[in-house]
Amino acid sequence: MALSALAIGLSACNGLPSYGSRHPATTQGNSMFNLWQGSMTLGLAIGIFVWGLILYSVFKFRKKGNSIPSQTQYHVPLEITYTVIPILIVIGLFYFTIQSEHKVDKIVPNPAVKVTVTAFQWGWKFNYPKQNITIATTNPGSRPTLVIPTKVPVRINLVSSDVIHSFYVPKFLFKRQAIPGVKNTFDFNATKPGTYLGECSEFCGLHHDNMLFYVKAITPAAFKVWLASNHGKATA
Amino acid sequence: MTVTEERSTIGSHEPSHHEGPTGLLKWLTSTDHKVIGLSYIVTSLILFAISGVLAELIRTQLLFPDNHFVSQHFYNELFTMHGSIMMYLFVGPFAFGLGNYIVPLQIGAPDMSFPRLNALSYWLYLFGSIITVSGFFTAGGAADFGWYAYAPLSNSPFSPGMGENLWYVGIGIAGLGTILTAVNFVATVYTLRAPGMTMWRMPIFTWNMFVTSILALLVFPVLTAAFALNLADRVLGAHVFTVSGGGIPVMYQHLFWFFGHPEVYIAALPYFGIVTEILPVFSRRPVFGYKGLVLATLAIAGLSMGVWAHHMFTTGVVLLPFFSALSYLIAVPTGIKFFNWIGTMWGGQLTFEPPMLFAIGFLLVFLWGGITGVMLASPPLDFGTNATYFVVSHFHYVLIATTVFAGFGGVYYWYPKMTGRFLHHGLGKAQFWILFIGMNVTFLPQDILGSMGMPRRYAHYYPGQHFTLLNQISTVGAYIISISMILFIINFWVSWKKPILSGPDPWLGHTLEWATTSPPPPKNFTSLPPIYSDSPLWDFRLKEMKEKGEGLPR
Amino acid sequence: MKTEAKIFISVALFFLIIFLIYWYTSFEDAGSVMLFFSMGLGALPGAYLFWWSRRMDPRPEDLPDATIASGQGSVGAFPEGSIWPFVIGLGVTSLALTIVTNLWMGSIGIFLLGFAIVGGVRESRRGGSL
Repeated sequence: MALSALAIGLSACNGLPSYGSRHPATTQGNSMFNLWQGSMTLGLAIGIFVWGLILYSVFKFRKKGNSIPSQTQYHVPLEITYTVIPILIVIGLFYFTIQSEHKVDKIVPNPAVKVTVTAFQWGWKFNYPKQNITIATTNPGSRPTLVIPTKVPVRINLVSSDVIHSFYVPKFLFKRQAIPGVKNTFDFNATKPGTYLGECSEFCGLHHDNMLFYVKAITPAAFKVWLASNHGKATA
Repeated sequence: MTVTEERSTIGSHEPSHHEGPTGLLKWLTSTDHKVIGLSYIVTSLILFAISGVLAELIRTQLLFPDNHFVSQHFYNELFTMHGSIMMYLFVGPFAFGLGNYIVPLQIGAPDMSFPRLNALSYWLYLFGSIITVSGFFTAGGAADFGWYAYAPLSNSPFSPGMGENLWYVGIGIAGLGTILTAVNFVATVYTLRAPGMTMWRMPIFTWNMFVTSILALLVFPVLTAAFALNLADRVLGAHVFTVSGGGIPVMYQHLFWFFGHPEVYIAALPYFGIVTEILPVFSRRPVFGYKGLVLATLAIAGLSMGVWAHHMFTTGVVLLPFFSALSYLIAVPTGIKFFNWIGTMWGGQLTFEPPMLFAIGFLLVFLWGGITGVMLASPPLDFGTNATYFVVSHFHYVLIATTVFAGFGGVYYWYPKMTGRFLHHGLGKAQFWILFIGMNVTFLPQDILGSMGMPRRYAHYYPGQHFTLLNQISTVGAYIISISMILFIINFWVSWKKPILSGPDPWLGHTLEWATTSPPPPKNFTSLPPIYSDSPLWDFRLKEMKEKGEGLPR
Repeated sequence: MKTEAKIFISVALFFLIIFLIYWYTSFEDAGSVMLFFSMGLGALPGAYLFWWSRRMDPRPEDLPDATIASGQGSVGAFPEGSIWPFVIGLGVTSLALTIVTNLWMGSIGIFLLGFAIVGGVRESRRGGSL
């Protein structure tokens, strides 16, 4: 029963609430969003069941009279039941997690555009190596814009030049750490045009909370125009 | 004078009164586990209060968008020191303090195995804490790189300053104290049990302190090593974690979380133990599924050693399925514990004195922490919620349930044993309800904030992000929590000024600590009941009640 | 003593299994090394306790049907109180502070530690405290 609730949650376009989460703007995000809805629904269902049991025993078994209650200490079938059921639930959850993880971490062989993102204290540098375009934070607090096409896969190569940062776009439901000495690679496909706020989400020192940026998704056609008009430019 | 302790049968000798030092000198020289336990408890509660004030300052800063209540730099110090004091200097030592007082009593021992070592552990903890907190009084302020001090941010080019150095040294010293205490607990449990108290008859609290000690022995040396390496980078010019010198920053995360995740269970298992002591006593039933409960504790401890990198899912360099699977599996023994706790209450005769209220509060609050925790075991969900307020809310639900609800439950439960007095019931109940409301008002909004994408450790947010209202509700909740803590201080003061005497066994306890006077005499026992189960005193009382044929006393 | 030995031996076995799985699936160094040495922490006391558990009679606390009287006699020697843990604590703290301050701290630390060691040994020789 619990698993079927999860399965419903994982089917696309379901009627479940978002539980506060933002609606995702990437296909990878959709997969995580469905997993989130399913897990949260299942979690709440289990929660309500157990909270119910606790409150029931609190109200039902409050002290009445002075008879000595039953002193039973073991009930093996019951104990086995409540060991096996949780195991089944987590196996189910693990299965759906692996499914979603494969979608999210999938790296395609030929992305439409590659961007090298360099995080530094306290800003970002977006470099399109093929087109020789660079966009970076110039003065503290300025917010550079990462321009990407929709629909097609975008490759991000994420590096850091000083301490550990994290590339986080809430609308993508995704973040990845930028670690000095490590090149992290991930792909995403934006689903619709729009401008999304991005944040550094790994504490990186004094101006950590001012390390913001935008991701602007535009149609592939518009993106081509943008690339052509910015070719070779290093803009702020 | 060294006393060779003789074990005695019922009523064979009078409690002896030794002439000894009094006042400050008594405190400085005492090797009595009860004095040391109380010192631990009082010191850790003072640090808890300091850390609580820091938390209120953090919440006040977040009361308005783009607020300038404190400077950015000071805000970073605030959350770093709040986390550091709570995680390193409060949750563990508070549990070890209660354990120090209670474990020897529960197993019928006259003291801990190594009383002088026990005293040394306490002094190391006290001095370490003073040094850590003293960072606030240095020119550059206290440490400001977050409580887990990721390299290379924590290295001197990025975080220079004396406060940071003191942080490393202070926590290192306190950690050494924890290792020594853990050795002491294992030795005590192995060698000082009363006759008939086999391992499988030890009260659950003692079991959990024992398992916690093994965990501490496994992981605190790793923390000390990680800190020593980091300190070498900082002050000796080493390059263990700096890329330019050929070091590997990710290795620090591995070392740290290899300590850091079991530390969460070091902060949880003793408190599970407290709850498992309170629930049976106030249900008038033995613990349901005692053996399963012990095995679940061992399973949790074991699994907790294999899940460290679930804190590193977003690094992109760890094996996701391995850590995800083991993290999910921890839900199973934790679930078993829940059903055992409910089974203990099931069919009982429940009364709701403050310890019981706090224990039930623990169950209700911890469940939500557990559910959000299971969600975070999934890497794809963690990608969205890691390092946001969702995680902040999750671990506050877990840690407040354990250390605050179960911890205060333990204080209310054992305070009569430690002092011979009750804490005021009415004030205790008021404290519980205010805490319960304040806790949920503070941290449920943070769940939603995190789901919306508010990152943790941000001193500012902006009006357009729609974070304002939820943050304000959360801050109000934090103020409500502080009211409940003030009530506790008042309660303490009331019990000091107008004592309500409790007698040796006010709750009809199940375990041996209630078989001696309150507070217990030096070397603890003048007599012991026979031990035939994990609740020897309750067996004794049941027999008495059945013989009298009157049922439970009123 | 048998249960006590089994617990540490299970710790060792658990880490052996986890170490093998983890090392084989990830080839990641830091975690594998830590798991391997955690196995050692279980094996060392486990083997010691196991060795003893086969050579000694069960103690009263190992027997489910032992009476309290069977444990009568000396439990151990417990000090009434001692100032030396406090002094050792001060010494260790000063010594650790040397790393971040200067050598003066270290000399104070060594002095305190030496003082405490001599004092502690003399105390235990006298069989007393203070």
